Amino acid sequence: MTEAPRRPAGPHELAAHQMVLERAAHAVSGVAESTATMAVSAPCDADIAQAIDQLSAVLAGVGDAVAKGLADLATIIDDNRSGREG
Amino acid sequence: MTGEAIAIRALANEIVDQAEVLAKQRMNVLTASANAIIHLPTGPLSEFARASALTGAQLEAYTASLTTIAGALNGYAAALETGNADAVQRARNRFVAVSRAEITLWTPSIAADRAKARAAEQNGSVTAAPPRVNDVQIADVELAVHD
Repeated sequence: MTEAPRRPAGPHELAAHQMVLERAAHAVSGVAESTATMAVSAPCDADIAQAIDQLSAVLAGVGDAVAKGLADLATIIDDNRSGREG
Repeated sequence: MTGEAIAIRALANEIVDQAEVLAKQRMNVLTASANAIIHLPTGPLSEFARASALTGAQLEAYTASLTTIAGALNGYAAALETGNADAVQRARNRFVAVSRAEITLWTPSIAADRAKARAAEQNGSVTAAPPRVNDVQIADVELAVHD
């Protein structure tokens, strides 16, 4: 069985996909920043406050990792666009 | 309604909003990745496919975590609103248990990211920002569950 030939994309087509991934990375980074500052804006149970504080740190780290993963995907596309354009 | 209940609800709503942002972005990412895969040359294709599958799964799990946490917070706020001490205690314990489970779920991947960042620094090829996770010793986290 032979593999079907891949349809070549123009630089503009790949650029659109790259932009979507870059925007997603930016949005996820924003969520990570928000989770990094999670807190209850009133006096509350100490264990609840502690749990939220710890979740905040962990989830911010997760968000950063996901945002970086998305940025890396955009970079792969960019590298291949550069090759085509060059 | 108590001030604590109002504040807990506000935080839960904020987290729900964040989860909605992630869910929307996940759909965008899935669509863009699928379209990019069609057009990428065979060289980078496998790397892109592997990375996009991993990132998509992480994005989904991140969204699920935020949704679960918001649900547990809303449950705690609802219990506070009843003023029933037993209900408050149960909801409080549930939230603490959910928190512990989420922290346990994510800690290995965060530890792996830390190790990668350290390795990159030692090789003099720092490409990633250091993980945001602060000095909290996640592995040592002990949250109290009161009966």
